[in-house]
This record gives sequence, structure tokens and C-alpha cells, in this order.
Amino acid sequence: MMTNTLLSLTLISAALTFMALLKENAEVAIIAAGAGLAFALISLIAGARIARRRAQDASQLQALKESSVEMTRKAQELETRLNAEQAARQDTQAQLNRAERFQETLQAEVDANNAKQKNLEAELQALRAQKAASGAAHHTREATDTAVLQFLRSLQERGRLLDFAMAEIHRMPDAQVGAAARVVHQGIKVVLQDYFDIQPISEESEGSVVNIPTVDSSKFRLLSRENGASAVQTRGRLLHRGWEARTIRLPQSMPHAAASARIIAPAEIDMQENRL
Amino acid sequence: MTTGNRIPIGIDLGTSHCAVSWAEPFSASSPALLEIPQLEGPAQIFKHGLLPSVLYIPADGEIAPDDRTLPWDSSGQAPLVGRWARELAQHSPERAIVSSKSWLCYGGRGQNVEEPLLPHKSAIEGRKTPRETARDFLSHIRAAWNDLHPGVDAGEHPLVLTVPASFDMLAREWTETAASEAGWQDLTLLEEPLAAFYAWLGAQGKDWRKQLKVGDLVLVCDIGGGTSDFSLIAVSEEEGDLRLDRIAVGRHLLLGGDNMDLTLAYHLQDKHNLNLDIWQFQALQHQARLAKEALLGTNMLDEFPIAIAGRGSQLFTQTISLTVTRQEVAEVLIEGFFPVCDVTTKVPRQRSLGLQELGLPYEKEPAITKQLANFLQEAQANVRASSLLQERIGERWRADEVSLLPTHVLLNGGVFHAPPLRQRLSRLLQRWVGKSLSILENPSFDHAVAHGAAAFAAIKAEGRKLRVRSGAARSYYIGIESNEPAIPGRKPLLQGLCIMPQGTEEGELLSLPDEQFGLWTGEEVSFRLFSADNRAGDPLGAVVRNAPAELEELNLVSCRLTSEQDAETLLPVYLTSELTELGTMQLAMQHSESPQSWKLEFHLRQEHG
Repeated sequence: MMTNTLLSLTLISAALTFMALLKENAEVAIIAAGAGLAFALISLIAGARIARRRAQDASQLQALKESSVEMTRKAQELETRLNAEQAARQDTQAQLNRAERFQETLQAEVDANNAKQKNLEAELQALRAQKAASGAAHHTREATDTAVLQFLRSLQERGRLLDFAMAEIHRMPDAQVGAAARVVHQGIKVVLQDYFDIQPISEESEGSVVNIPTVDSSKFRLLSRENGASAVQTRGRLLHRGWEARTIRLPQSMPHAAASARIIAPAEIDMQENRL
Repeated sequence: MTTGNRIPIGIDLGTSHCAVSWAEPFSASSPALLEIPQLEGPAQIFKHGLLPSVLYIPADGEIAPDDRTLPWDSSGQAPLVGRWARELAQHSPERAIVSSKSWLCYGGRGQNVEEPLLPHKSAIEGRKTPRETARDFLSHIRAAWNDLHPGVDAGEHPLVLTVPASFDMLAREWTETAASEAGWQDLTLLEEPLAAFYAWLGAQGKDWRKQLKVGDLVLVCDIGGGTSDFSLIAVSEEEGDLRLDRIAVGRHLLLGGDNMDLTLAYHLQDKHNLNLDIWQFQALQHQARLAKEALLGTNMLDEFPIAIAGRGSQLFTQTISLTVTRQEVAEVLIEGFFPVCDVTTKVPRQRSLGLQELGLPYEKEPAITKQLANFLQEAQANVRASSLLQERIGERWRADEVSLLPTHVLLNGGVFHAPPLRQRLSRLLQRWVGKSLSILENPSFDHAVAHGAAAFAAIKAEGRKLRVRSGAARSYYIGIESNEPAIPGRKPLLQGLCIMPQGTEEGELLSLPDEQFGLWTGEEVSFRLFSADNRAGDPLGAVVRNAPAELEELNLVSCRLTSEQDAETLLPVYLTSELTELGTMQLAMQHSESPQSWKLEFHLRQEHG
């Protein structure tokens, strides 16, 4: 646009120059020619600039065209790959479905096994309980035996009870039996007092008439009871005061106690005699 | 003071039995007795409130380890103490340690205390020192406590351990060492008569102030199985409240209930002309005790039949039987041990029995009443020597009297279960004092010492003020050779310099800056240590002219100064002494020019001769 204007201006300047030359007006011709030249120069420069920009634009356009082609190619490529992947996914899904089905089968098997195991465990527990019960029974019996043997040991150690009970007493005169009985009496009384708190059940004196208690029937033994009469009979004669262990403080057996418990009193040997 | 789960524990480490009591802090309930698990027989554990102070040393293979395991020890190697040990001791006395506590007070006299001399006069392997024996009893008690009270270790609870009032500082030191070796960390020692008095105080609650008033003087007469122990407690006033001071303790008397049983056994053996073996004699002694209890007991039997079985199983042919009458028990025991005597009766002091004599210095005078009369005279002499003590007694003090007479009496010990013995002693005291004498009621003759120890531990833990001030029961001296011109054939006198006056309070630090000693570094220096129970007037630094004659010799103490300098140097030092909070004595050499000090050790190893 500008170049066109400049060209027009150049042409106008040339026409003015020509007209000036015709009219032999040198001054105007020179000015017009100068202006014409200037316009021509300016239009030349502007033309060159425009031409350069056009060239640039053209090369850019070319580049854009090329990249567009490239993009299209890539898009095609991607599409191809997408298609391939979709196919692969379908394949995987199929595999996955197969795996799920397989897992379900396996789970069913595991469940079955678990159930079986539970049954077995229950059976085992039952067996163990059975075994423990029989063991406990054995253990209790052994512990009881040990405790009784240890109690006997104490009675022998302090009260010579076995020496007394195992002797042939019927050949002995009363005086000797009496003397021995004191040893036994004193010793076993100490043992009984150490291990129990033994008290008479009835505080009344034997032979006296007492009220028949209505509570704690296991503590009293009612003798010569007649049918029907007992319901109205409230008194009777005390024959025996009875005994009750109010507290028990028996020693505790240690593990391995059974091993030595049968030795109620070891045989004793005086080593001094050997030296003499 | 109390931290959460600390339980005050009291232990009566007795000559014949140990008892353990404990108290809930800030609780009104009375102390409870610990039921101590102990072996009763092979593989058999019995819990009992008393642990017999007997330690049995079995021969190799005599007892299977399985048979002597304890709930807390499966190795079967723990020392065998208690009821089974006592039973075994009757079969094999040469393997049993009995009355080891009496040795604790005499271990340092003639013998080397680190020498395992118990069982005495026995040649078995594995003998023990008196201290080790005490340690074994205390270890058993600690383990028993831990077994019954899981959680906090017994050693961390505050412990009050009782000792005879007549125990000197060395015996106290060894008791303390035994306890710390057994794992007890928080320990205080308490005199047994004071423990019995604390049990009485505890049983009275707040009412005790109604029973005692300013100017009263309480006599505690504690007769145990092996020892008799007397103390006097003065009641005075301080800041509007009653103040209690223990102002006198008796000498160490190896005389007690066991002597009575033995005496009765000898009497019966002689009277019936019995020929007994060692086991039968032990049975006789046991029977004599039962006879004593029965004939002097409340049921007032006239006769008591005794039967002594032989060793064999033939009970009927081998049993010896005889009868003891109340009259002969009264003659032998009441007249023998509690004869009526005047308050002026004197008992000659047994001089420190030369170093050669082995064994325990049993009392030559068995009359407890005479010993008591003698104690009251010595207490009078002791107070006469100290204006401080006279102040505590106040208006009641009479300088011209021969004896210091009590206004109240508290009897303690198993022998006082027998009413005739209580009556004899209190009537005799009333004869001396007058009808005004009151008898304080003992809550338990057998357990007052243990309960009182627990009550005292609780008082301490709660930070309460109620205390019987005791301090050092004796005064202590160090031997110094006097500077005299040498005279041929005459040894220079050994003077005694008082380093701790009687009545020194716990926690008090004493120093004698005027008496300087020159000590070479790197060398061991020994001093002879003396004590006295009747010189209350001697102040710190007092000099006794002839120490070996006027004082009782205790032991050697020694000190070794280590210095970083190679050269031997003579350092000027002076002596400091301290009565520790737990009741033992500490001696140290203090450098006079620096704050450095060196502890003096009680000489545990004494050269022979």
C-alpha cells in the first residue's frame, strides 16, 4: 500500500518533472526530479523490506506445513499403537478372567481344608484334655501320697509314732507302754498343733443333755433315732464332743518330693563307733 | 518421706529365733508377722512366724539337692536354715550353727573374725564366720519376702534390724555388714529393749502420754533365749511434749532362757543318776523346757512326767521316765536365776577374758536379779558422772542413792510367759522401789521386738517425731602411749583418749583438732580401741590414765594413707568420729591442712598372739 502510494508519488514527481521540463522551469524540474528520485529511493527500500518479509513468511509457512505433515504422521503412528494396545488389553482381560475363576476354585479348596483342620484341632484338643485329665488324676494321687508320707515322717520324727505302732505292744507291761505313750503323745501333739487348729465341735461336757442343733447337720451324728420321733425330739445326751480342723497349715510339697517321701525315717548309723 | 510402695520392715535377729514384722505406713492397724517359708523336712516347705536361728551344713551327699530346693531356689544350694536345720541339728550337732548371734559380739575379741569358726569346736568342712551366718539368715528372709510379695525387692524397703542394747560398735558394724551383704540397702539398727518399748508405745496409741509423766523412769528388762538386756528410759519435757531418752544400758550378759533349760536338764540328770548319750541329753533338755513351761505356766500342774526315748526303734524298752515336780523347778529356776537379793548386791565385772580363751564368755553369775541390781547401781554411777543425764531425770535425781530406781517396768522375752517368774521379779523390784512401781503390759512377750522394730520403721518412714533418743550407749577411746621417761622393767602407760562420748547422737560429727597425729603415707598405722559403759561424764578429748585397766579393750583400728607422691611424707592429721544415722561408728583421719580425710577400718584381721 505504502509502496503503491510511493510509486504514485514517484510517478507524480516524474510527471511534474516532465511537465517542468516541458515548461523549461528548471527549478521545479529539479525539485520534482529530486522528489521523484527520493520517492523512488524510498519506494525501492520499502519494496526490498517487504520482499524480505514475504520471503520470511513463506519460509515459515513452509516449516509449518512440514511440521503439520510430521504431526499427522505421528498421529497415525499413535493410532496404530493404540489399536495394538487395545488388542493386548483385551487379551489380558481374558487372561485375568481365567485367573479369577482359578482363584475361586482355589479358595473353595482352601476353605475345605480349613474346615478339615478345624475338625482335626478340635479332635486334638479333646485328646489333649483327655490326656491332661488322666495326668492330673495321676498327679493328684501322687501328690496326696507324698503329703501323707511327709505327714507320717513328721509324726515319726517328733512323736515316734511308727516305733510305737509297729512294736509288739501286748508283751509290754503297762508302765513301759505308759512311758512310751508320753513320748508319742507329746510329739504328735506338737505336730497337730503346728499343722492344724483342731477344736472340739461341742463345748458341752460329755454325758450332759444338749439341744440338738438345727444347722450344720454334718457336724453332728444323731444316734438311736426312731422314725417319726426325731421330728419332735429336740434334746439328746452328748456322747462325744467331736473334733474339727478349723484351719489347716500343712507344709507344701516341693517338686521331686515324691522321690524321697517313702523314706519315713532313714536308718541311722553312728560313725563314731567305726573310729573306736 | 514415704515413697509409694515402700513397706517398713522390722527384723528381730534373735539368738534362737528370727521374727519378721511389717507395718503399713499411715495405718492404724498393728504390725503383722511374716509367715516365713522354710524347709520342714525333705522337699517340704512350711510357713511359720518364727525362723529358728539354726544353720545346718550337710555333709557331701547327705541331702539330695532336690530335697532342699526352696520356692525361690531350685539349685538346692541355698544355706539350710530354719526348722529342718534345727531338727537335723539334734541328730548331728557338730554340723549345726546355733547361737551365732552371741559370737557376733565376741568375734572380734580373741579370734580373727574373718576366720570361719562356726560350728564351734567342730572340724567339718565349710564352716562359717558369725557374720556370714547372720548374712545367711537375712538372705533367707529377703528371698522369703520377695517370694511372698513380688514387685519391689525387700532390700529396697526401709529395714529396722534389732541388736542387743549391749552390742558395742564393732558388733553393730558386723551386723550392718551382714545385712548389706544380704542385699538390704535402707537399714537402721535399733536396740532390742527399745524395740520392745516401741511395741508397747504402739499398742497404747495416743494413750501412752496418760501412763507416763515427766520424771518417770522406765526399766526394760528383756530376757531372750541367750542374752539378758537391760535399759532405762527417762521421761522429761521438751517444748510442751514428753521427751524420751534412753539413759543407760546393761552389759552384754550371755544368760537367758536356754541357760534355765540346760540347768534343769543337768539337775535332772544328776538327781536321777542318768547315763545319757548326747542325743538323749538333748531330748532331756527339750523336755526340761516343756516341764518348765508346764509347771510354771498358768495351769499350775504339780508334777510333770518326762519320758526320754532311746535312739533305736525299741520305744518300749529304751524309754527312760521320770517326774519333775513344781517344787524342784521353783528351787532350781526361780531360786537359781531369780533369787531374792538386796538392791545393793554387786556382781564382780568379768575382766576381758584374755585373748587365749576360746569360746563364749558365759556369765559366771546366773542370778538375773543380782545382775539387775548391779545394773541399777552402774546406771546410778553413770548418771552421777554426767550433769546432762541428771538434767534428763530432773527432780527425781538423788545423788546420794546407791541405785537408780525405776518408776515403771516393762518385761520382755519368752521366759516371762511364766507367771511365777513375772511375780518374783516384779515383787522384788517393788521391794527395792516401793509399791508405786507400775508394770507396763507387754503386748507380746515373743514378738514385741519384731513388732516394735516394724513400728519404729513406720514412725521413721512417716517422719513422725515420736522417738526415744538413744545415741551412743558407750563412750569410746583410742589408745595413746604417754610420754614418760623410760624406766627399765616398766611399760609406759597406755592412755585412753575419748573420741566419742556416751550419748553422742546419730549423725553427730566430732573432731579433736587439738590432738594431732603424724602419719607416714603408704604405711599402715594401727590404734587400740577401748570402750566403757559407765563413764557418761567423759567429754570428747577426755584422757583416761590407764586405758587397759580402766576400760574394755575392743579391737584394733587401722588406717593407711595413700599418697600420689612417691616419697614418704609425714602428714599432720587429727581424728574425727561420727555416729552414723544407721547407728554405727565411723572414724577418720582428717588432714589438718586440707579437706582430705582417710577412713579408719576396724581391724578385721588380727595377727595371732
